[in-house]
Amino acid sequence: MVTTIYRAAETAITFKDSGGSVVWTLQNLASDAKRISARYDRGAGSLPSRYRWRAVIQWTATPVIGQWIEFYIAGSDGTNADGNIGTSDAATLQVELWNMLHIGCVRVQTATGAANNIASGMVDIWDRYVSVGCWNQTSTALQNTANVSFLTLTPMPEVYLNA
Amino acid sequence: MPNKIYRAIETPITFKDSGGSAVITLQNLGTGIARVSARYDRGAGDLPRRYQWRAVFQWTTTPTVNQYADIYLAESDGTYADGTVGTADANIVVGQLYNLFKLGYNRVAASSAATNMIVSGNCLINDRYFSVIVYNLSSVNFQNTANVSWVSFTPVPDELQ
Repeated sequence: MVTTIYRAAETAITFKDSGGSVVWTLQNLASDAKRISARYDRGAGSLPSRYRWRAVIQWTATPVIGQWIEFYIAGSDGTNADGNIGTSDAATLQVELWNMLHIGCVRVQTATGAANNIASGMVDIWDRYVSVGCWNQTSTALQNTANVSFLTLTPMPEVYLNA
Repeated sequence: MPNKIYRAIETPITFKDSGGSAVITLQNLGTGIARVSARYDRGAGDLPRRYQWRAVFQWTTTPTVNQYADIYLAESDGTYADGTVGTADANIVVGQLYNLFKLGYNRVAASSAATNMIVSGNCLINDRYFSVIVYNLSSVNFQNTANVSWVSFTPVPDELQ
């Protein structure tokens, strides 16, 4: 019997202004602002470690092509969080981001406001609790509309298939 | 008893002018043009993650040795595609490339027209949907013949022996 190893795709965790798994206020996030999400509890016991992140970002006005927003992950054991961040959606500091994991960025694709700019990647998450953070490095604010900018984490563990 | 993990090899997905798994118009691709393929649907459910990609390109006239074409990957969950590349075979703008994953490049190895230049590598594809992008940064067009330039992705998942 041959066992082939594929990837499974499970339900995404969403970080957005409202209606997601946890809150992350990205609406009208200012130039140079840093923001941490509320903490997400993945639950007790065995959990997926491999996740796909995808960020959808809209800027207001006319963003500069090639500028970017950075994204970070903070794991927590429930007591000690990377970057010593809190558990609520809040503004954060550059120094807190220094001790978080930088997972990637979304660059401005077009100098058009209210347009989707999208990037994705992979990240391993080991802790039960996780928060995401960002740093808007562009010279323009994010679009002043709720939920047009957000980030998802989709569990994609390995799965053994028996032929 | 120890179990080795080998690599399996499955059916390639091909991106070409016609007759492939999905269309990408590489015939006569102009200098400075970035072209995205039609979106390929890998299907629902469990899927291979690891692929070997291979790009076979031909340039026209006499290409300059060491010039190149970039190759990018854009994945999509079905709604949100990296680089907002769309679902159809089309030209895209350079800004969209900034949010894509660069697989590699195919360099001109000989200043001979209508000659295969071939490169390959490995990549991970996690989403259900994906597209391939070719950005011709050389100073000459691709060969003006259908299906002599193409890109393939062969699933090579791990297999427990």
